Amino acid sequence: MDFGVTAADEVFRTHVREFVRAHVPPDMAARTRHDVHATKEDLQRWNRILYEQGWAAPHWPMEYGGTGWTPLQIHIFEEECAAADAPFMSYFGLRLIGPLIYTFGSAEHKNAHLEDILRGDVFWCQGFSEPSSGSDLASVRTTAVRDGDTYVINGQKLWTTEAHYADKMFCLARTDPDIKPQKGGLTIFFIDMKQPGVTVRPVITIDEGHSVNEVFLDNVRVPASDVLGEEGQGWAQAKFLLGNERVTNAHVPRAKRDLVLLKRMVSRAIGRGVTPTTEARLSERIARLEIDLAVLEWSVLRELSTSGRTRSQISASGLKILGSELQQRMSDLAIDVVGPQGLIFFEPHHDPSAVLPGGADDELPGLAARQLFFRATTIYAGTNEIQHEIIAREVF
Amino acid sequence: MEFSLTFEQAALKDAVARFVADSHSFEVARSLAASSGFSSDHWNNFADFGWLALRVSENRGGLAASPIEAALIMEEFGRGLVAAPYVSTAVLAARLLDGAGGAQAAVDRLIAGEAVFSVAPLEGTVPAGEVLRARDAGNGYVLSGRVPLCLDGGVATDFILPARLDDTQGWCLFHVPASTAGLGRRTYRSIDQRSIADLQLDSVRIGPEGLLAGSTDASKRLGEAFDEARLALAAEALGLMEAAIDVTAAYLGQRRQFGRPLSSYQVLTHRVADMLVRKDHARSMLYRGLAHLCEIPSVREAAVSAAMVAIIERGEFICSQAIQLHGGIGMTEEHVVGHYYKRLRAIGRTWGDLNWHMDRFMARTGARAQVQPTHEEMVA
Repeated sequence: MDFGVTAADEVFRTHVREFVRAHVPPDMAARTRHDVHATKEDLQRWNRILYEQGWAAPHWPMEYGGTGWTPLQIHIFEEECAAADAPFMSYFGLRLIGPLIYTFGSAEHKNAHLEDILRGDVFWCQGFSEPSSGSDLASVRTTAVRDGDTYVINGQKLWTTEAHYADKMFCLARTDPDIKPQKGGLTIFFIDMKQPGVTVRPVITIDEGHSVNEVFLDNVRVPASDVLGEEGQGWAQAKFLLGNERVTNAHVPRAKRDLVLLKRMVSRAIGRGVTPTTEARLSERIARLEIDLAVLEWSVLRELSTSGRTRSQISASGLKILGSELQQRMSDLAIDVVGPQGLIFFEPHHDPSAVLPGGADDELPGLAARQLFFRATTIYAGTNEIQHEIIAREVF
Repeated sequence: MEFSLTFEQAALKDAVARFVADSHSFEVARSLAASSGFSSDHWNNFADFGWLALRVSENRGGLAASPIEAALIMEEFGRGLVAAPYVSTAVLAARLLDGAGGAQAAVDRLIAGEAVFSVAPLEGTVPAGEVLRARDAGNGYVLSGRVPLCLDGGVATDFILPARLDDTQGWCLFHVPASTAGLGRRTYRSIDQRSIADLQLDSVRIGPEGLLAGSTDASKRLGEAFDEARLALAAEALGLMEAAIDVTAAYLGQRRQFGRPLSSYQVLTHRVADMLVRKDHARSMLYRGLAHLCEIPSVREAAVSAAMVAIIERGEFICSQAIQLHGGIGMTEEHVVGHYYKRLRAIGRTWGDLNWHMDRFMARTGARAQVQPTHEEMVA
C-alpha cells in the first residue's frame, strides 16, 4: 500500500484544469450551477468542445477515441470538469450504449454509431424500465417478433431519461417468450425515435420538471441488422452495464463541487446572523457531509485502483447507497439553510434577469427543484433496497 | 496510489494473523484480561518478531517501517482482541523516543520487550485544570502534579508525560520510569478490562536525560505521535468490525426460529448488508487518514479526526448490531460479540472521543471556512 498521488498526476490535474476553466462558457457554467437538468444545447455544446480536444470519452479504449488515461486520471478530469461547472455529460451515449457497441457490436455498428456519439451529434436514451418492470429487469414485457428481415416491437417504456432529446433508443425486449430472460430470452435493439409507432410522452416529476418520459412502441419495425450483438444476449449486455456504472453512480466529482457551493451558502447564512443553536446545527451538518463525502471519495479511489472488475459487490452497492444518500442530504441542507424561502415554487424556465419572489437568491430555484428531484437518487440505478438485497445474497 | 499490499506487508499481516490463530483464541483473551491484561510471553514474542521495532529508525536499531505496517498489526490484534499495550509502546513511545536525540537506552529496552510504556496526551482526554509542572533544577528536573487517565498505566514500566516547564506557556516532554521516587499511581480498569492509572507526582526528580523534547517541539511531536496512534486504534477497530460481522453472519446461518434459519429473514440480512457497507467505508477512511499523516498539522488533524468520526460511528453501529442480531446470547460475558462492542466503545474514548474529534474537524474545516492555525503552527 502506498497512498501518495504521483507528481505526474498533479501535473495532469493542472493541465486539464487549465483547459477546462478556459473553455466552459460562463453562461453554461451559471446554468449548471442553477438548474437541475441540463439543456440539450448545453450538453451538445460542451460535448463538441471536448470532442475537438479529443476528450469527449476518456474512458473509451483509445482505438475508439478514448484518451488512454488511467482510471485515476479520468477521475481527476471529471473532478476538474465539475469544479468548473461544466454540465454532466449525457450519460446514455457516452457511458452506456457506446461501451455496449464497442464491446458487443459488429464492425458495422461501430462504424455507424461510435463517432456520432463521440461528437455529440446523436443522442441516445435507454429503453429498459417499464411500468411493471423496475428493479426486476428480467420481467420486461416489451416484445420483439421476427418477421422476415425485421423485428416488430410492441410495448411501453417508462422513466426514459432524455427520450425527448434522443435520436435513438437502445431497447430491451423479449425475443423468445419460451426461454428464461436470463438464459437468452432478451435482446437489445436500436430504435430510431422518429420512426412511425414511437410516441414520447413527458412524465413530470415532483419538481415539476421534465427529464423522464414514457415511450410507447406500437408495431415499430426494426431491421434485423439493428440487433446489438446477437439475439438473446440482452441479459448479459444489461449486466455488463451495471458493472460499468459502479463508480459513476457515486457522483463524487459533482458532490465535491456541490459541497463547496453549499459551504459558501452556509457561511453566508451564518454571516447574515442566525441563532447560536442554528449555527451549531448547520455547522455540524456541513461537517458530517464533508466527512461522508471523504468516505465516498476514498471508496471510489479504492474502486478505481482495481482495473475492470469491482472489488466486491459490497463496494459497488455501497458506493450507490452512500452516494445517493449524500446527494439527498446535501440538497436538503441547501434548502434548510434558506429557511422560509424553501417553500417557494419557482417556474422551471424563469427569466434569469427577473427579480425572484420572496427576496430569493438566484441559486434558489435550481436548489429547490433539485431537493425535490433528488428523492429519485435512492430509486434510480437500482433502488437502495435492491442494493441491500444484492449484498445480502453475496453473503447468505 | 496503490491499495494492495506489498509482498512484505502481506507477509507481516499473515504472521500476525497466524499468531492470533495459534496463540490468542477468545478463551486466551478472556483469561488474560482477567489476570494481568496481557502475556509477557506474547510480549517477548512481539520483540522476537520485530513488531516492537517497526516504528523506530534504523540507526537506532529499529526497522523503520511506516504507520501502514503498524496499522496492519493492529487490525489483526483487533480481530483477536489482543489487549497488549502495543500502541502505547510500539507507536507512541517508539515515535517520541525515536525523535529525541538521546534516550538510546530506553529505545533498546523498548525494542527488546523489556519496557511497557504509557504516554499521556496533551489534549483529547485531559480534564481542564490538570497540569503537570516541571522545574529546572540545574542538574535535572523536578515534576509535580497529577496526570489522570494514563492508558496502560497499570502495566507500564515507563511513562512519557508532557509538563509545563517553570510556569511558562511551553510544554516539554519527560521520560519518567515508573519506579522513580515520588511517583504514585492509582490503578483501575476500563470497560474492556485494560489498565488505566491516575498518576500523582510529588517532587519527582529526573536527570537531564529525561527531557525528551523542549518547548519548541514537544507539542508538535506529541501531536504527530498521537495522530498516528489514533489511526492505529482505528485499524484495530476495523479488525473488530470485521470479526463482529463474520461471527454474526455465521450465527444467522445456523440459528433457526419459526422453522427457518435466521438468514432467511430479509430484515436481518439487510442489516448485515448495512454493516458490511459501513465496514468497507470505514476502511476507506483509515486509508485516507494514513495518507494524510505527513501533511501540515491542520490538514493532518482534519483528516485524522474525519477518519475517527467515520470509524467510531460506523464501528458503534456494527458492533451494537452484532449484539442485536445475536439476541440474548450476545448480551453474555461468555460470548465474543459483547467484547468486540466494549473494545470498540473504549477505542471511541481513547485519546479523543467523538465530540473532541468533531470539534477538531470543524475547527479546521468549519462553515466559517477559515482554517484556524493550530497551536503547533502558531508556535512554528
